[in-house]
Amino acid sequence: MEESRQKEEFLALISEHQDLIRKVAAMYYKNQADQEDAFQEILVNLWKAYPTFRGESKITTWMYRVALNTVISGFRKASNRVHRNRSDVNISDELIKPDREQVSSDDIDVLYQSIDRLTDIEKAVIMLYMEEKTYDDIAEIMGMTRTNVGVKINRIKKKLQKLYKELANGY
Amino acid sequence: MDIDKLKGAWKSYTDRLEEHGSKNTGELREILSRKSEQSLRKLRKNFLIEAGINLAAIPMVLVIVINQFGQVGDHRYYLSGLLVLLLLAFLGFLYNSYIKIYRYEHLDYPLEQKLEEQVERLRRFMKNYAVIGYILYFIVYIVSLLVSAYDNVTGELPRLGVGLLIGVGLFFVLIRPLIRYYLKRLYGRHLDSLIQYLKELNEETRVW
Repeated sequence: MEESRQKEEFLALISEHQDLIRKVAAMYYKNQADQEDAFQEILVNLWKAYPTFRGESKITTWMYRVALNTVISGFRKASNRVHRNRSDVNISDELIKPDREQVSSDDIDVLYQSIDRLTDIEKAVIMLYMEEKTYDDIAEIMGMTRTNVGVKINRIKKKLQKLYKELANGY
Repeated sequence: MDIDKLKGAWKSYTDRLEEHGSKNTGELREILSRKSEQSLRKLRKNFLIEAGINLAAIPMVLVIVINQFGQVGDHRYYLSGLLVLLLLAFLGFLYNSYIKIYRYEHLDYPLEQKLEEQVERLRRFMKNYAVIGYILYFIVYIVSLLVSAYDNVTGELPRLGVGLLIGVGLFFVLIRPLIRYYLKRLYGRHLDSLIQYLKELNEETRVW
């Protein structure tokens, strides 16, 4: 009875924040089937970890922790981690509609290819940064110090800019 | 191009993901029950594949000891029982470790802490696996050696000494590298990537 009530509570919570899981899956997996598989695995792990959630941190912070632990530290087939490229799903068209006047489709396409060349840790940090998470939140999720988060974000931005230039010039 | 513009692009992309893939609570509930069962099946399958060699060894041990060790009389039954027990204990260790590695706990730890735990757990598992493998090899080898000289152990001491030296040589030349290679092949890549992630997270905060 208690478990059933807890499950309903959990499902309502996940239903509200499921986009977070989908974003993590989309950051690490290109293929839709792999993304769905990752989504399901994260969901199961969230349920397993749910009894330990005591509301000490924000629900989204807790969810990011479990989701990133699942995709980064868990056993998954490395072959699933396929990099995106221009011939894959046309992400750029989906991406930039509201920003079309600011960012060109090719720019975004190249930018996504640059992100794919980041390490898994860098992807996690930049995703949380793009999600407008505070440095404190990122530090709590990743287990890093706040200073380290700031340094890492700057490094990743520089790396992305370098990769972006290389890719834009056709290297 | 300004990297900060990526935030806007990311938002558009993820909004679209949400539009297309949003699930209702019924679908989430269904995934939860189906996937939990699937992950257990996967765990059992992985365990059975790795344990297959050990399971296959049990009838072989029984046949070899009972047929070949006739000189020790009824002791061969106790001996085969002991060897089977050792193999079963090894299987128990394997299963327990699999549960810890695949259905790992502390999912809500910060990433760095979780990685540290996973690395430690995997290292310990690999070390214990190797040590148990070495011990099993020496037990089987020494028992076989002693059985071969069952009637006259003291008279056969020089031959037993040479046999032991050969066994030790075989261990260093074949058994130890083989077990290490096997473990590295199965878990080495995963362990290396976890260590690399950890190193990356612990990097000094010096500016480039």
